[in-house]
Amino acid sequence: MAGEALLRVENLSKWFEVRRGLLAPPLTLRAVDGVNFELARGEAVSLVGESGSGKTTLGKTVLRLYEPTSGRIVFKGKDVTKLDGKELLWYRRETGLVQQDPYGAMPSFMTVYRILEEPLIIHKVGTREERREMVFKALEEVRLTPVEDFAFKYPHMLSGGQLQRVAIARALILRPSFVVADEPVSMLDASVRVEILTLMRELQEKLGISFIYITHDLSTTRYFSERIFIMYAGHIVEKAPSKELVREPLHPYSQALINAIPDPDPENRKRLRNVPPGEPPSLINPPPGCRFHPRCPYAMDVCRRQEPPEVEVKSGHVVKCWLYAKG
Amino acid sequence: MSAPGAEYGLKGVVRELLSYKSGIVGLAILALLVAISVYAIVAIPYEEAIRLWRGQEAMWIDNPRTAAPEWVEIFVGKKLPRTIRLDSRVRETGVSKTVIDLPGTGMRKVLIEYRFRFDYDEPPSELNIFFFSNYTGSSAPLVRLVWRKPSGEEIELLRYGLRAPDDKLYVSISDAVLSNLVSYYVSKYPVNVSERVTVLKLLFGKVTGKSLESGDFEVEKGDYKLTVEATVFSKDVDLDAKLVVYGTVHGIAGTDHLRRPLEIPLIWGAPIALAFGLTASLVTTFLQMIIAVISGWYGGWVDSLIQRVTELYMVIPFLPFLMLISTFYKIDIWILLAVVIILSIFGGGIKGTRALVMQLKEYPYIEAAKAYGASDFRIIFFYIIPKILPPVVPGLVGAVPGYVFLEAGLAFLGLGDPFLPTWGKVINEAYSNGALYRGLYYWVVEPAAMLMLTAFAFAFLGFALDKIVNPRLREL
Amino acid sequence: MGDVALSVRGLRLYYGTRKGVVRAVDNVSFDLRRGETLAVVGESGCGKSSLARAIIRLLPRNVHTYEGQIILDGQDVMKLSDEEFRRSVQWTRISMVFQGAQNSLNPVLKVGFQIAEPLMIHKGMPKEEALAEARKYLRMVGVHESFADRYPFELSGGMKQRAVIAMALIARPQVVILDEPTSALDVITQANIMNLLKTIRSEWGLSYIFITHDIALSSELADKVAVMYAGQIVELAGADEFYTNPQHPYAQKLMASVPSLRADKKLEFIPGAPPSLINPPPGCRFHPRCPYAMDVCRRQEPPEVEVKSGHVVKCWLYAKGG
Repeated sequence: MAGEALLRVENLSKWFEVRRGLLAPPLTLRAVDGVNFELARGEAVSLVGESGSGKTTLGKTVLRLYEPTSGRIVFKGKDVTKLDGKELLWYRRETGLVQQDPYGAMPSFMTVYRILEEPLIIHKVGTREERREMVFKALEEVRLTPVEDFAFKYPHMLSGGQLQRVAIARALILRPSFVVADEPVSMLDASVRVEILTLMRELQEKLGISFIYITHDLSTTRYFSERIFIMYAGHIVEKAPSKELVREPLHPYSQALINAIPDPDPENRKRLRNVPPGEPPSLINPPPGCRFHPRCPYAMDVCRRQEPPEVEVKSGHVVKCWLYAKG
Repeated sequence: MSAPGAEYGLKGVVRELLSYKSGIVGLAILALLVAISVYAIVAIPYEEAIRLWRGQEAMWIDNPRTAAPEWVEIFVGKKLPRTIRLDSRVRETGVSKTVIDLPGTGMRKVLIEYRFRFDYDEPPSELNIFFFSNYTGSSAPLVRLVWRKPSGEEIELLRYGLRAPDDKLYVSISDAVLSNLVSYYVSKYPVNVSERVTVLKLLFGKVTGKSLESGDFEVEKGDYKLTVEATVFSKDVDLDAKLVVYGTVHGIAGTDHLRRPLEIPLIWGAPIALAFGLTASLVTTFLQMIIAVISGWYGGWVDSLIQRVTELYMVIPFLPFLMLISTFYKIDIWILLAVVIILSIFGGGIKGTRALVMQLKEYPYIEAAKAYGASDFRIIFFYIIPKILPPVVPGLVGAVPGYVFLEAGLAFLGLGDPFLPTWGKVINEAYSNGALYRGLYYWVVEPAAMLMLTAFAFAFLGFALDKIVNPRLREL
Repeated sequence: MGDVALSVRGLRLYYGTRKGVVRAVDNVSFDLRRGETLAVVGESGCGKSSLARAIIRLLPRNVHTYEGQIILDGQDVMKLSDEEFRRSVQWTRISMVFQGAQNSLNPVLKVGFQIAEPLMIHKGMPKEEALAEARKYLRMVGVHESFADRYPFELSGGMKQRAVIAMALIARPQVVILDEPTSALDVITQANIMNLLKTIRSEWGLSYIFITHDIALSSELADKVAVMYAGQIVELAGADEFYTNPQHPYAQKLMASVPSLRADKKLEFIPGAPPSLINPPPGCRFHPRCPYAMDVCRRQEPPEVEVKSGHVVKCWLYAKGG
C-alpha cells in the first residue's frame, strides 16, 4: 500500500497451551500461525474470518494483550514485541480497542464520565478541568448529545448502540494512531449496525487513525475499509483491496465465503448455494500443507504436503495458495 | 450528578432494603442496638463502666442480691418487695433522729426511728443496718433495736455494742436476733418452732402458733417501725444509721450475685458485641477479599501458595485453637479480636471470591482496562473489587452474628475478657452461680435475648441484601 | 402452492412483568400455505420470537393475555387444552428449531436418543424403533449415523444444528418454526444449513415459519415476508414483491440498511430506537422514527391496506383518501 507503514507484523504466531488433565502433556493450539501484514497510516483494514479462525487472537496479540509466541510487531519503526513497563504504557496510549460486547466492556459501577476519564487519568493527561473538556468533547464526537444527559449515566441505562458509542469514545480519547475493533457491531441490531460502523469510519478518516476491523460479516467490510484480509485456521489466506477481493476473490476459501453470503434477493430461495461442505479444522491438530485442502475443490497433491507460499498475484493482492504459485 | 447514581449510593441501598420486610425488621433492630450502644458510651463512659462493673468499695451494698427485674411482677401476679432505704443522715420522711443529753453523765442518747410501709406479697430478701459513728478508743456506743409490727407488737431485737465506727448489722442472718425473736414468740405461743423459721419471716410475717409450727408465714402488711436507741459516751460522739430492707426485685434488669445491676452489662454489651462482630467480620472479609483477588489475578505460584495456605487453615480446628490461646494468655477483648481475625483471614471465603475473580479476569471490561494501560494495582482496586463487593456484602453482614456468638461463647467458657461487662460474661456468671437451677431465669434470658436480637438483626439484613444483590432470589 | 396449512387470526400474547404488561404479540394475523415459507423479520425485541412461542404454545409462566385463533388444517387449536395441545399438536404437527439450538441439546444424553425422544414421547414409539428412526433422520440431514451414539460435545456446531433439525423433523410435522436457526454459525456452515432446509422443503412439501433478524438471509427461504415492528406485522408481502419493492417506511429503511456484497448502494440507518412494548407510542408505533409521519399517524392506529393482491401494508400513507 502507498504511504509509510505504521504497523508491520512479521511472521507473528500465538500458540496457546491447552491442558487436558493433570498428567496428560499439554496440547498446543495454534490460534495464529505465522502471519505477515503491513498497515499504513490512516488505513482501515478488515480482518474477516469464521469463529475460531484466530482473527480475534491476532487482533489482541498485535495489541500486546496476548504475549506473542514468536514473530515481530513493529510499530512506528519500533519493535514493540517485547516492550514492558513505561514503554508498553506508551504503546497502550498509541493503541485502542473496541470490543464485541458493549455491556461486558463497561465497568457497570462507573458512570460514563468516569469510564471515559479513566484512560486520561491513567496516562496523566491534563488537569481535572481539561479532562472534563476532553470527556465532553469525546461524547460529542460520538454524538451522545446532549452530553450532560449521558455523562452521568451508568452503563445499564444505555442501549447497546449507545454503549458501543461510549466504547468508541473510550478507544479514541487518547488519540491513538491505531485501533482494533473486534466485531464491534455483531451484537447490535441491524438498523444500529450501519449507524455505528458509519460513525467509526467517519472518526477514523477524520482523525487519520489506522484501523483493524475484525468481523465475520464480509458484506459490511467494503463500506468501511480499504483492504480486506481473509483469515482461515490461523493463517491470512488472502490480502487485497476491498472491492477487488469481493469482485474477484482468488483463494478458494475466499470464493466459498463470498458464495455463501446472500444479498436480499427473491431468487435466492430457488437455488442452492455453491459452498464447500465441512467445517474449519481444529487448530490443535491442523491438517498438514494447506489448511483448507480437505474442503478445497481444487486440492492438489502439493496442497496436502506443503504449506502454500504467499504469492503476490497483482500489486497489493496477495494470496496464500498453490494454485497461484509460479511453476 | 447523584440522581442517576442513587442506586449505587447508600441512600439507594437503604431505600431498596426498606422494600423488603426482612430489611425493615433488620434495620429496626439494628437501629435499636445502635441507639443502645450510643447511649451506653455517652451515659456510662468506658472507664466508668469498668469501675461500676468491678463494683469495688461496696458501691452496690444497697442493692439486693440476685433480684429479678421489676417487670417480673406482671408474670407472677404478685406485688414483689422493692428495696427500702432509710438513712438518718438524710432528712427524709420516715426517719427521725433525736439526741438527748443525759445531764451530769456526759453521755448522750441518740434515738433514731424508721417508719415504713410494707404492703408487698412477699417478705424482703435481706435486712441490714449500717452504722456511722465517730467514736474513738474503747467507748463504743451501745445500741438497742426495737421492732414494731403493724399489729402494734413491740419486740426488742438486740442489744449490742458497736465493734467499729462503721459497723454493719446483718439483721436477717443474725443468730442473736433470731433467738430473741423466737423466745419472744414462744413465750406467746408455746409450740415447737419449725426449723424453717427465719428472722425475716418472724419480722414480716403474721405470727401464730400454727405458722410457727409450720414455718409458713403470710406477710403482715402495714406500717412498720424500727427504733435504734443508742447510748454514746461522749458529747462529741454522734451516731447515724442506715436501714436497708432489701427487695426481691430491682430495676429494669435485676441484679446479679454481687448486687450489680444487670443493665450495665446488658447496655454495655451492645457496643462491645457490635464492635467485635462488625470489626471481625469487616476486617476478615476485606482481608480475605484482597488475598482472594491477588490469588485469582496473579495466578501462578502466588495463587498456588495462597490456595495451599487456605486449605491448611481450613483444616486447623478454629475454636479449639482459639480456646487454647485464651486459656494460656488471659487476653483482653481487642487482642482476642486480633487473634480471631488472624485465625480467619485464610478462611473458606477465599475460595469463592477467587473463583469469582478468575471469571472476572476474562471480562471484556478488564481487558479494555488493560488495553488503555491500567496497572495491576488499579485493575484490582478500581475494577475488580468494586465488582465483587456487592456479592460479598451480604456475606459480611451475615457473618457478624457468628463473631458475636463466638465472643459470647468464649466469655461463657470463661475465656473472654476478664474485666469488660459483656453478654457472654453475664451468662457465664449466671451459669456458675446456678441461675437456672435456682430459678433465676432473667439472669440468663436477658443477655441471651440481646444476643438473639443481634443475630436476628444481621441475619435479616443479610437476607434482604442478598435479595438486592442477587436478583434471582427476588422472585422467591 | 396448495391450500392453507396454518392460519393465524388476531393472535395476542402479553406478558405481565413488574414494570407493566409487555405486548409482545399484538393482534397478528397471517396465512401459511402448504409448502410455503413465511419469513418473519424484525429487530430484536419486536416480538418475533414470542410469535413463534405463541404458535407452538411454549409459554413462560408470566403470561398475561393469550388469545386469538390458530387454525391448523381447519381446526382451531387454540380451543384445545394444554394437555391436548401437547399430545396432539406440539411436535407432531408443529415443531420448532430453537434459537441457539447448539446449546439446546442436553449435554449428558446421546445425540441419537435426543433425536428419538419426540417419537417416544409424542407418538409412544418403542425405544428401539425410535432410535433406528433417529439414525435414518441423522443421515438425512447429512450427519453420519455413527454420531447417534455420541454426546453433543463431540459434534461440531454445524453437526449439532443438523441434529436439532433432525429432531424437529422426526415426528413428521406439517409446519416447522425456525427461530434464528443459524444465529451462532459461520457463513459457510449457514449456507450449508440453508441448502439442507431448501432440499428438505422441496422433498417433503413442508411449511416453514422462518424467524430472523437478517433480511438478506430471509431471502434464502422466504416465499412470503412479514415485517414485525413493536409486536405487530406492519408489512406482509410475497418475496418477489417485498425484496424489490417494500412499501412500509420501516421496511424500506430496514432494506436500505442491509449491506450488499455485490450491488453498490448507499447504506442508511434508522435513527432512534425501537419503542418499548409496555408503553408503545399511540397511533402508528413507528411514527416517532418515520420520515413521512403525518398528523393522523400520531393519533390513530393505521389500517391494514392491501396495496396489491397479497401485499398488505399497515400504514396511513396507503389508506384510501389519506
